[in-house]
Amino acid sequence: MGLLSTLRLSRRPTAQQRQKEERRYNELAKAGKPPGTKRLCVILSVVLFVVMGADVVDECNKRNAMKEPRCVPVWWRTTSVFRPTLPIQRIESWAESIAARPLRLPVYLEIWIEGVGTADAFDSVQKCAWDIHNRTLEGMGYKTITQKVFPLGIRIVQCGTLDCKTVASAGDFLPGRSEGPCFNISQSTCDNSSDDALLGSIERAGRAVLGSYVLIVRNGQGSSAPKVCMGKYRHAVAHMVDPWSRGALQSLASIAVDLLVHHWGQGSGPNAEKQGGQLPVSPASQVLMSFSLCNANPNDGYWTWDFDRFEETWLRPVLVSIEAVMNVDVESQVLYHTSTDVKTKYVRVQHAHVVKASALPFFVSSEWQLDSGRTVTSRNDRREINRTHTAHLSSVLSPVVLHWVVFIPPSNRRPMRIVDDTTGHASKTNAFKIPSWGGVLIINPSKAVNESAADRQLHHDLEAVHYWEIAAVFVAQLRGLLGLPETPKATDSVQSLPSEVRGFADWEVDVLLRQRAAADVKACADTLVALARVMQKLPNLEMPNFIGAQVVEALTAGESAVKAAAAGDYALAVLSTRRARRLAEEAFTHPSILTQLNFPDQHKVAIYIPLFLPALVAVAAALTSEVTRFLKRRSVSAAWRNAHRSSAG
Amino acid sequence: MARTAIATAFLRVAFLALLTVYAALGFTAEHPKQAHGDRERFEEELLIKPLPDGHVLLHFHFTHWTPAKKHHQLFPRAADQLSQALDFEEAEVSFTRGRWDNRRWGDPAVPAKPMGAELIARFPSSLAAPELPSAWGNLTHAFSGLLCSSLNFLERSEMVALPEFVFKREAGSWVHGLLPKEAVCTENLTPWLKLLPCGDSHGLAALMDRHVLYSADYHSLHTHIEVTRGHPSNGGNEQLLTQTLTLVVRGSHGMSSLSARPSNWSLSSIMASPPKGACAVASQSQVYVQIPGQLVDRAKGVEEVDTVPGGGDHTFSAHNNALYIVDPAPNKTLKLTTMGVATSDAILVYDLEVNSSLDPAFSWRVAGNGGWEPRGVQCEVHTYIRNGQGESGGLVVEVGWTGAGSAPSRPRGLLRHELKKLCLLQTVPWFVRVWIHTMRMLVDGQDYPTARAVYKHMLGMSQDRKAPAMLELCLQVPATASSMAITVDFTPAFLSVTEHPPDAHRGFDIPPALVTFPDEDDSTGVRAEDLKKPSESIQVLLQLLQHSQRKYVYSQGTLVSLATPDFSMPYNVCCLTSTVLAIYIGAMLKALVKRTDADETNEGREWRKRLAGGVLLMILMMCWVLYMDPETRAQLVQWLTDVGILHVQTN
Repeated sequence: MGLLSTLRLSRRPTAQQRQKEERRYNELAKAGKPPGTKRLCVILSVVLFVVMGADVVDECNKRNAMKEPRCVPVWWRTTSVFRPTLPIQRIESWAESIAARPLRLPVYLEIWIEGVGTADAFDSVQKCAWDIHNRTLEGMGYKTITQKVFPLGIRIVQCGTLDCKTVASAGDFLPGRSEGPCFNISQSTCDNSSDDALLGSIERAGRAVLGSYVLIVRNGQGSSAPKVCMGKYRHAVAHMVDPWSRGALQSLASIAVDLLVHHWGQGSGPNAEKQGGQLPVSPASQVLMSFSLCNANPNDGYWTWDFDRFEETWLRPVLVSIEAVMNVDVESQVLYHTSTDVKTKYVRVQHAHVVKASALPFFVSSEWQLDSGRTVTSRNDRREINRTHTAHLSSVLSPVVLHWVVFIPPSNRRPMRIVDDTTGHASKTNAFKIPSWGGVLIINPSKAVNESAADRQLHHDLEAVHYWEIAAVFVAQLRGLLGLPETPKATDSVQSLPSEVRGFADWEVDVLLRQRAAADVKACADTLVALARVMQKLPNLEMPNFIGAQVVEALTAGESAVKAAAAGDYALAVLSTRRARRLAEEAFTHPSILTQLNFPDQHKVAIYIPLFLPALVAVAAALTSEVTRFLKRRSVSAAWRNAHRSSAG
Repeated sequence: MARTAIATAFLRVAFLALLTVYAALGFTAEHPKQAHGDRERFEEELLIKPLPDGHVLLHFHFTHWTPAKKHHQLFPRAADQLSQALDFEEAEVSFTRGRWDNRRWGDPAVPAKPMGAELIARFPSSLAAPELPSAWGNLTHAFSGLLCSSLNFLERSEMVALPEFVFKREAGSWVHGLLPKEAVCTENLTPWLKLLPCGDSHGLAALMDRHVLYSADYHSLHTHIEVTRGHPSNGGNEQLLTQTLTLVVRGSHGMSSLSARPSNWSLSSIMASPPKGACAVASQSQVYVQIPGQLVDRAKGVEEVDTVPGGGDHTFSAHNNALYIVDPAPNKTLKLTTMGVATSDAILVYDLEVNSSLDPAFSWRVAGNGGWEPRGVQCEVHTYIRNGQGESGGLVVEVGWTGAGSAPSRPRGLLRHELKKLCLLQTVPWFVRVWIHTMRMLVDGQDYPTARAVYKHMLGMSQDRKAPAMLELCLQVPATASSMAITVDFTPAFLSVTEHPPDAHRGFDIPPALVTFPDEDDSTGVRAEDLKKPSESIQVLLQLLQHSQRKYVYSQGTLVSLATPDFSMPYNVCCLTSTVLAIYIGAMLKALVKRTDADETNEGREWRKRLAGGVLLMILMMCWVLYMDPETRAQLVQWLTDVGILHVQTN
């Protein structure tokens, strides 16, 4: 019965019915009856539902709250791409503040002057302190000399026989660092043992801190141009005649400026970010050092190495000393049949087969299997990431690989030497480095003397002399790749002690740390800004929730790094910058956001048009007819009423 | 690699001098000479064996062995990193083109492999069962990266079987995966060669001419890593890496293999170039020519006829006799003993280090090959589909024994009671739903009670999109049987649109069946322990030949075709659903808004009628939705349960 009535309802009204209806309608309108609003309400509620019917659904989805306005249709909500809200405002303002005032770790210099100065000397001492401060900033390349740019603190301490007191200071010394006990100055000669001995007393005085350096000025015999002895730690010793005199203080100032600008204070200049960015270190501070011993032609004898021993004796001390800057993994291999395409020429003067330096770019052949086979990353780690965003995710970011190649030429091309094209001089080390790739060393071992010709012994072990040659070149090349001078640099006024097997002085590690911290914060800010932009530009990019959490974490770490740097806390600042960069980089390169959902517009049209077009036509038709009918009837009835009223009045 | 700016590193002499002091500390007088047993070893061997139909089997065998240490001098770094990163004990991957033809070539000297790619792995028993899928997944990805293959498709659990006893040589969890469709090409060979210390520039691998390799009738590239996990503090594991390449090629090019005249061949004629000498770092570089026992026996027979009785000083030579000659003379001739039993097979051993331009040549001295036929029991396995096109079909695995020697020379009466044993592993993908209760067994075409034949079984039930069905049966059949078949009915399942591969009309692969013979391998093969004896160099391949190896016989894979949908269907469904919804909306609106004559005159009753009509329409639509969409249905049930109207008993 119901169905029949439905069918009847949907039937078109006949012309007769329509006429009848029209008559009745006119009668009613003319009778002054106001139009009914029932159908109008029905159709308006339908329209309202289509346009903004999402609020009910929205309540359910509250925990996945998105950034879009709340009044959107159900279908839009259910088909939109899921992504967490990123604190875009916060990211941008933080990035702006970093750009305006880059992160610089503070540098403090204490100058301990032996003896007691006269009263009028104190004025010039104060002047001298500010002189050092300003000239250092100038020397580093800062145009506007303000403390705000780079926190540099200078303090001059008078070191009497019994007590010590601060006589002058410039820049900002933090409160905790202002006073400290005096220590016994006993160094006399410039060598390693006295350097070590001095370290002990400085440590006792609590001055062996990252970023804090001590220049000790002794009253004693010395030339007019005093030479500073700079050790492998964070202190240096100068000898001066009457250090409190005006002239001595002036030359002291220039020594201190030299020390700060060219040695201790490096990595704080305006371009520290750039220097730090060039360090061959991955965002997760992982470096993989891949050592390869390449035997060009093993058919006439080949050499192998005892790499475990080499690592233990030579590599470990070096890698331990730069542990703070990078985490190094070491791997090794021995390769055979690695012939080079570079042509050599026998030169009688050199008694060697000569390789021109200009041919070196083509020395390493792509045939050599130098690539680290670290393709095997455990993929469950990645799954773990999807589930929980724990802190240890280093597997996502691949380490930077540095290659160290030791090349043994074939016997008919031994000895092989690298020769400078222009000067014709042979390289002393027989090695060359390739920026951000690694280094190559050519060694020319000879067969053992006692070996008889009949003995078809092909296999040889490298000898001790080769190991230290490899180690020496490795250290020099690594220093070069890290932007430090290959051997400790000496200037006119500074004599430096080499850092022996460790390869890196403490203050050099400080320099690298400062560069990295600056670069890390910059990179973190850039990455986060880039991620925010990508989010805005690619509306189809899907993003899991934990990426948002990671971004917030990175931002928090970056902010705390800036705070720690301001407080002079090296350790915390370095830790936070590194964490910030790693998290930001991981969020950006995470595989889960690399896949962009591709729903072209044609697809959407094809999916939605069949539904929306006919449905909307029905809705729109009903709406227009009802509205026009309502308006028409209202005007008619209003006219009737007006007429009636006027007639009544 | 940025090589733009190259700077030579000139070290200061002072710095070097300083280091010298420390050099003295590091390496004083003692020279770092390790104990000889700790040396890593690399051996290369090549087995050449003439086959009865004029083809020649070439089997390259490379063995790497390393003790537990962190840094290696010979062992490939890629393989080492793989075993370091993943927790497996044994992994075996093979890529095969062509099929070993038992009828023409007899039993394979080394186990033959199925077409396509196969990955078998053994994980330690200590590995928890829930971790096995991820360990296996990592392994498949690592191997597909290492060997440039698509083994990563095996990661999905629906692709692999976890057999219980087919592989049971050593304790552990075995996983077996097959990719019958995998195309084998040079891209697999190139990374494989990179694992060799000399690559393909020197040594036996230099023989590998790509044209010969990929035009061979049978080509099987095989990599096997066995890891003995050491203590973690050692920083490394003891590992044995075996790489083999098996080829069956025509004896001489340009000659039809169908011609009756057997071919004379030499290594250079087969491989297009003679060897370029041994790999310098290999501790062994050997070439073996295996003369099959039948040929030796026949040659002896020919000589006995020829020689005058009484000429006693004549000794038989296995490389130069009345039937054939192998030139040059070998360094050594061995008699092959298999499992301590002397066979008449002769092995001519050549040392490549002594004779670097070695080119062994085999030529016949008589016309024809003297009636040389494959001998012994050849076992063949076939898998095929009965009635594959319809709604149901049958899967048949057939094992047949052929060859003259199938009936051993024993009294016939005894044979009735003797049984031969075999184990069978057949994996069936989940979309082929096998009905185990329909399993029947036929022996020599006659029904045979399954219960009597099966003495050990393991049936893995398939789970949709999760696990394949696995039939692992150990059977015993009368020793006289010359064929045996197992049939089981199946119903193909429907796949959703997205589950179809790009070429859906090709059909779906059923992986080959694997048959092993537990009777015949009582003794285990050569184990890693045998190969780890320090200092002496072991001819691994010779040892392998002398031990009985476990015999694996694979069937060829087969295809089953499923109902293929029309792939434009989703849009059609969209359009249809949308149209229905649009009509519904239109009708609904009309029902709500429409006025009739009666409306104005008889308002109350008509209104109720219309409402009833609308409600009915709505209910109908709801019913239709509930019927069509199981999700909505589940949601509704959940809803009602929550409200308390419905009580669903969950168990």
